[in-house]
Amino acid sequence: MDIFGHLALGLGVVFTVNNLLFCFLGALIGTLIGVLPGIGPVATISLLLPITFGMDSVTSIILLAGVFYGAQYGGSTTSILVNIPGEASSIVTCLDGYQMARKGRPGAALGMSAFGSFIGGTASIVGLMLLAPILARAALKFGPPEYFSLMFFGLTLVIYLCVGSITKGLIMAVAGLAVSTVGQDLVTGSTRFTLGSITLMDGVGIVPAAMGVFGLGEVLTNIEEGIKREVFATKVKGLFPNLKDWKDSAWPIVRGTLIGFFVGILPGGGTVIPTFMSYTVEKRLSRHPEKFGTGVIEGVAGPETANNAATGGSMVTLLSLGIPANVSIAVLLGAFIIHGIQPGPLLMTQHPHLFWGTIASMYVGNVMLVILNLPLIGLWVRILKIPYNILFPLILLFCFIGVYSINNNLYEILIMVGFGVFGYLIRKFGYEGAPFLLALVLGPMLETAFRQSMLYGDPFILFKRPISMVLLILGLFLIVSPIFSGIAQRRRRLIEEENG
Amino acid sequence: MKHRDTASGLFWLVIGIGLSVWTLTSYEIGRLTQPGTGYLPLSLGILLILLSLILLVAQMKKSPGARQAVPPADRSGGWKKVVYTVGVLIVAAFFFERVGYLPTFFCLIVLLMKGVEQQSWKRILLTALLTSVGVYLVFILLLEVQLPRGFLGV
Repeated sequence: MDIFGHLALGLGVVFTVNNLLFCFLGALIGTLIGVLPGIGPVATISLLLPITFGMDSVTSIILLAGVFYGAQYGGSTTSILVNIPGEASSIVTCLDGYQMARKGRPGAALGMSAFGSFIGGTASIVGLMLLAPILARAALKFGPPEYFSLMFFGLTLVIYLCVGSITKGLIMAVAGLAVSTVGQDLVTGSTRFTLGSITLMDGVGIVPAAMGVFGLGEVLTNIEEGIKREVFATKVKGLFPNLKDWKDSAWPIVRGTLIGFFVGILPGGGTVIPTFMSYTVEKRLSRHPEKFGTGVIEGVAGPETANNAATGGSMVTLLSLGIPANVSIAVLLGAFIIHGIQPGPLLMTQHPHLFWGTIASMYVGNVMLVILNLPLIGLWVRILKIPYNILFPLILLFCFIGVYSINNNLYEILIMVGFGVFGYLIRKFGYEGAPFLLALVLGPMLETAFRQSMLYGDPFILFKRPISMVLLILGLFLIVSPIFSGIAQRRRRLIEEENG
Repeated sequence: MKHRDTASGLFWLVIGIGLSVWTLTSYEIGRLTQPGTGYLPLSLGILLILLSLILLVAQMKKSPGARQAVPPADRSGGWKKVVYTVGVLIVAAFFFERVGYLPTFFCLIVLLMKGVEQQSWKRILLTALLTSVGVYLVFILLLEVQLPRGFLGV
């Protein structure tokens, strides 16, 4: 069957009343939680997970995937109107989006980010459709060494792109890996570091950890600093960007799509990193880089396109390799497994309805999202007017219910609170949560792949297989390169001192 | 301990040593080609020790002026609110299954809103009431999430 045949199959799956309804619900919920700061796709997908138990597997995935990519649309609204990112992936949008709103052009910023999101989102699904089958076929030849090196590379990428020092990023990743070893050793079956606790036998859950570090940790930081915010524009007019806006945004959107999609594919790429990369690229290529940060539309169009394009990219890794590229996808992977489906190279042939149905639903969902975000913008603005001192107890309540509902286990709430304190402290001491959580997510897969690789009986196997070797060397280079650039800088300084 | 990298570096050093000692005394390590249960944890413990030493040495090399201090914890007593919020959450978790979700959530909202920022009782009680009803409608009736019902039985 050719690609159009596959797409027709997928659309056939989506165009039933039930699946369309759940696709719409996913997009709607995604936008809502995207708009609300502090509530993200991780918390929401895990909260919705138990209610999908009784549902058809395709419908469940359509709903949960909708929340994932829908959140990228909603996040920009909060960034532009309130100068607080609705999601981590729209932090960059605050820089120019909020300035545009202050200059009286909130409509153009919101409109351009919605159109950019749509273009990036849709183009990345085309990419997903073309690339996932090729990658899945190639991945059939992947053995444990290749999987190990790919995940290792993803982890080093996240560390490399950390804002702080590489050392701190490495510490976070090592700590995350250490936490991931708690529980049953997947190879021998013996338990590690459980202190006799039954809850810890299954390991530290990704959801309580993620909601602790990102959700609760952020709320605690905000409470301490006493957050003040105001919604800038009460009435948003002129959602359609003018011709000049389009001319300025055309190339940023194209580049944002490419950056988002290809970085999104990499394990660890996620939806946040591409936005920073896109902003940096646009600033560097711009003829007026000094204007960035004062409300230029390129600074909104590029990153907002990139984070949506990344959703398609990270679905490639999930559907064709079975590797979660970020925490939201890790929770989505959990949903697949609960429904008895193992994402990976065989998914496309074993569950074609699910594979192509999910892809087709993303096309439909993106159309729904543009419609939801443009005319209904007034509704989201009203939600933003809820003051933080009412919102934060609701966020905590949401985390509380979300964590409890996964296993009906009280101890997981305490684990979340513990990680909340941890998340609050690492912010204070200048560490980042992203490498920690990705390491926690990938830890068990990484360890298993390593130990299976060692079963080949050759300690250098990881360097003897070509794909594995390239990925490992790239990863090591990412960690070591800042040291060399540090040396280079010092040498330059010495030469300058000698000359001067 | 005034500087944030010194403080956190020492913390990770202790964690790294603790992890290594715990692994060495409790689990089978194995060899590179035959890694045992303790192989990864021990490697991570040693890595953590090395990384924290790098952090500490880099900190010592910096001139005292370039070192970043720990962000002041006493800024308008903000840290007390953090401790209070964490305390409320732990107490709520303790009572959750004993008294049920409705009384717990009601008290949770009241305590959080009253303790963290001064607001009128009318606003607090209204928010708590609306939230409780909302939780019941959305999570119990619509989403059928299983929450402990406690003595109220709803």
